[in-house]
Amino acid sequence: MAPSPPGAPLGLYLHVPFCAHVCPYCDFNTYAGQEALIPAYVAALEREIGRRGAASGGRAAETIFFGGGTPSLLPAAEIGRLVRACRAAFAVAPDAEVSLEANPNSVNEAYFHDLLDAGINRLSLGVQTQQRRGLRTLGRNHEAADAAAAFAAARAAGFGNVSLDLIFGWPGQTPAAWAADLDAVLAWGVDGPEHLSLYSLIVEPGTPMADAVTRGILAVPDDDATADLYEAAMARLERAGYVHYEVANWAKTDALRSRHNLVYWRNGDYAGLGAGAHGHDGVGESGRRKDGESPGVLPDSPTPLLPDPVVGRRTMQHLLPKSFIAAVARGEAPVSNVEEIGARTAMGETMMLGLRLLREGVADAAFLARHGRSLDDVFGPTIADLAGLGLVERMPDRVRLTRRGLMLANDVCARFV
Amino acid sequence: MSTTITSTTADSPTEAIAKIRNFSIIAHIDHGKSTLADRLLEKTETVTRRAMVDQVLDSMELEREKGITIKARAVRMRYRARDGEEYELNLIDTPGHVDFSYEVSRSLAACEGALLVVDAAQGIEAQTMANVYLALEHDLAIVAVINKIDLPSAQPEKVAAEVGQFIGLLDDEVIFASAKEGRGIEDILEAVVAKIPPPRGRADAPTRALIFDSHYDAYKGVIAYVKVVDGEIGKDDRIRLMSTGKEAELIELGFFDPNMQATSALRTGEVGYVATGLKVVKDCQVGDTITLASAPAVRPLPGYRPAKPMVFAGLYPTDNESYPLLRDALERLQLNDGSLTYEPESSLALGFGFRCGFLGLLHMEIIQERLEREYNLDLLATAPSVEYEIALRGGRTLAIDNPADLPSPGEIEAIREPWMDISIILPSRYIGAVMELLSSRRGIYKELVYLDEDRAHLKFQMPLGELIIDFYDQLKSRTQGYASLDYTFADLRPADLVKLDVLVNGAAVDALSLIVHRDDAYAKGRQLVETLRGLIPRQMFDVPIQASIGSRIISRETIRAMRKNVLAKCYGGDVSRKRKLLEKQKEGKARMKIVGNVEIPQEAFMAVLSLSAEKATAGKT
Repeated sequence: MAPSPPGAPLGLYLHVPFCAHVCPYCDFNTYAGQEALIPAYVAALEREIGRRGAASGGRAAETIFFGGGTPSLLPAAEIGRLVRACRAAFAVAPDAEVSLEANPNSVNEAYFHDLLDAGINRLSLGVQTQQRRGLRTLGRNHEAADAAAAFAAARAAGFGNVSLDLIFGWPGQTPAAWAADLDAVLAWGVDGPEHLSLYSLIVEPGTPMADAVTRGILAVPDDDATADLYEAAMARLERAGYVHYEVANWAKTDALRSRHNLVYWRNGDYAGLGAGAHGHDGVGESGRRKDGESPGVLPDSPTPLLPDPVVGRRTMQHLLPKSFIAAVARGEAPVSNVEEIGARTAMGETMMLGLRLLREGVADAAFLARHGRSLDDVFGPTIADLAGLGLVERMPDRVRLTRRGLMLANDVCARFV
Repeated sequence: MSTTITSTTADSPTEAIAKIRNFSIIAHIDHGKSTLADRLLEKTETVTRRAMVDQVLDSMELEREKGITIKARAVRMRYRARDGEEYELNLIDTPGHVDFSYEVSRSLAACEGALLVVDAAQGIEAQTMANVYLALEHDLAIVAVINKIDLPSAQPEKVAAEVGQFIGLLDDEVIFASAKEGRGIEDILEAVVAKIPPPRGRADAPTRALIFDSHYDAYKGVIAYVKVVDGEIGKDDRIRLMSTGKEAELIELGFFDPNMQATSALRTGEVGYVATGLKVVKDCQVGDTITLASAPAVRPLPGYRPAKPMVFAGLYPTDNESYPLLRDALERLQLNDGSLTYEPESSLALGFGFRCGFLGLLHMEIIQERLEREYNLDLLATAPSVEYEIALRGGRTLAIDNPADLPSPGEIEAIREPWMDISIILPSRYIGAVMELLSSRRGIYKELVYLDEDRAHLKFQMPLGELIIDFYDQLKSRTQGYASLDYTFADLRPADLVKLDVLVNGAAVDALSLIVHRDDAYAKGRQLVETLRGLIPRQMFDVPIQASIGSRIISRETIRAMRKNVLAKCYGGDVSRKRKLLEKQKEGKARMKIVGNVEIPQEAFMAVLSLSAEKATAGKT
């Protein structure tokens, strides 16, 4: 389908901004040594879920995602409490996908069992690598055996939908080590995990790893080397029967794709709940068009175009757990940043997100339904140009990346924003 | 204020002239010229300390940032000397860079004396020496000032001895000062009165006034800064410019104190300004002579030469829509800058732009910066070139300043290129390194003089084409910044030159063409292609880069297609961040020029500047 039609069910994202320790490459919103705040944080999050559900009029939701940070630091009972809060505040579908990110070293079978009871039906395990050197380089405080054990525990507890996160392109990683990682995790259980996310390590400015790279202590592989690793992974997972459905994601079947992440890629609506959580509301605004009021200027475009009506909002909640808790306690909306999205920007976002879906791409019908204009009307020449370069495939009902376009997805997507 | 205007009129013309002192300050950048000028203005109460904007004489923002003076000005001060008499002192500021040496010479021509200011820690520099020689040629009296004696590293006696050796001054004629601390300022003023002679013009001769600077004012037209050499100019006079015969009614005349003060007349020996109502500075060129339409002088003052650009480069807007804006901006800059030339040119690679002529590289840099800063233009500049004189087989001669315009070898009888006289002052331990640099740049050694045990003055000649390609940076790096450079045009000489073309993805990119000496062509071609490979980002396909002479390919490199540019990272719901990353990437691309299907960044067009001499030499073997 893609993109999401207006008014489609929400995704609910719940952020758990706590980690036992913060990995040197990580630039997500997470804090070590603040575990004492967990009870107050869960209480605040519960209250915020209630407030948002009420404000949305109990809107339909079909995914819940506990991300972090390390959500598995939370006791299963607290997870259950938050799942119940979501079900009370929103019209959560009975078959909703309820995911939770877990670290291999803070879990066991009993815990997973309790999570199932709490309503979690999909696990995402942060394996990252099975190489000892890689684990240390990435600053992970678990061992390879812990990850295998965590997967086994999840299966034993009864989880039938488990995703693994792996990282490639870390300093010192060899193609052989990467192949060994893939071989190892594909052999787990009876026939491996249901889903895999393979992330290319991005050394983000301001992280300890960026500092180490700047000082020459660590050397990251160059683009050609990571391209080799990426292509090797594509080939290996294809052989293992996985569907490469998004740039960094593989699933055993279409049904086992991450439904929560599909909401993002289809430029759908999601509620961001918790410290630093991002939300998107493309419906609430479309009812009240604000023609002529918005700046109506393309990003970095010197000439003002026609008035660009605001059609959506992207929001971010307070980054610090303490600020989040305090704002909720004061009865305020814990929002620290709101970005108004104009119609033109929204269309660009639909493209840059939707093209990441390798098979689905951006469908003409869905684009028209979402934006009220045809895909060709808005992006016809750009698409034709990219098709000429062999980077996108213009199908009768949709446009999607070619294999070459996938490798150069940033260049393709940049043409639309 | 009004008393300052009337007091001179009380004396007879001769007596009035006897009380005038016109002088400049000659100093190297950072040797303290502006600070000293400020102290002189304060001491003479021309400007009160409170009203003083720091360094009154430099008015343009860019000048301040670059620490150099671009536009000369003249300030009139009144000074009651120890002899009890009141003197009129005119301080004529001079531009402080080698690109403006002609302007400096005109400013000096308007003076009878100069303050030579030398940093007590740094000693004398090449440019200072060049200007001192200019001053001596114009018969100026020199008052030497050793400045910054407050610095811990100051060596005033040593520097004084150095100065004395060149100008033939006795040690006790040198004034030790610290402009920063206000020391020695009165001694300087007394020396100006005592040692600099009054103007020598004749009050009864037909009027001749020397233009030593000019600028365009939106209300008063071109304002010429003049020194009245003979006769006088009254506010109701009609003036005539002797080089063009152009005439103009005066809108106003006066002097600077340092603000513009209108007055009724400028008399013999006086320095001031005339507002002409003329629309472009070109009509009122530096060095020209103003006379009166009613009683014109027979002969102009000596030394006039029209401003002649020496360095040429194409300026192109990165987006073609800005072309009219660039044209308007150049037109406006030219109002104020008679030495800037421009004419439309088009490049297959870069589209429509302008071929611009500059006095030198710094002038080019200043103009480019002003266009980008004041007119908000995104510009692409091609590598600088000099003007070549081409003798064709048919007997015709043409001048080309764009390598792309060079006729095919079969049509050319001979090519002549401009040569420069170069002067470098440097610590003697670097002589070897600099000589090596010179020989790799076709330099011809002329003379080496030791100034003292560890400083030397090196003179030689070199083609301007070699000078404008990274020479100054190379010189600085080989002397750790201790060398100073000065150069002037020598003559045109025949040279064995060929055109080196660059093909990107099979298509010749005219804006990358170079004219090089035949002996260097292979090495430079190889190096240029290598450099371009590093500068042009990987594209979505393989891009061959070739250098050719005529139809012969002499070097080739390939930029391999970009294999991967995809963010396989989890940004979760933070879509804004991802979008901003892509927007940034897109913005980066917008700064590049698309030639054929290849995105070429600005740096690539300047790649020739990074062809270092030693590499070119090494590659020759």
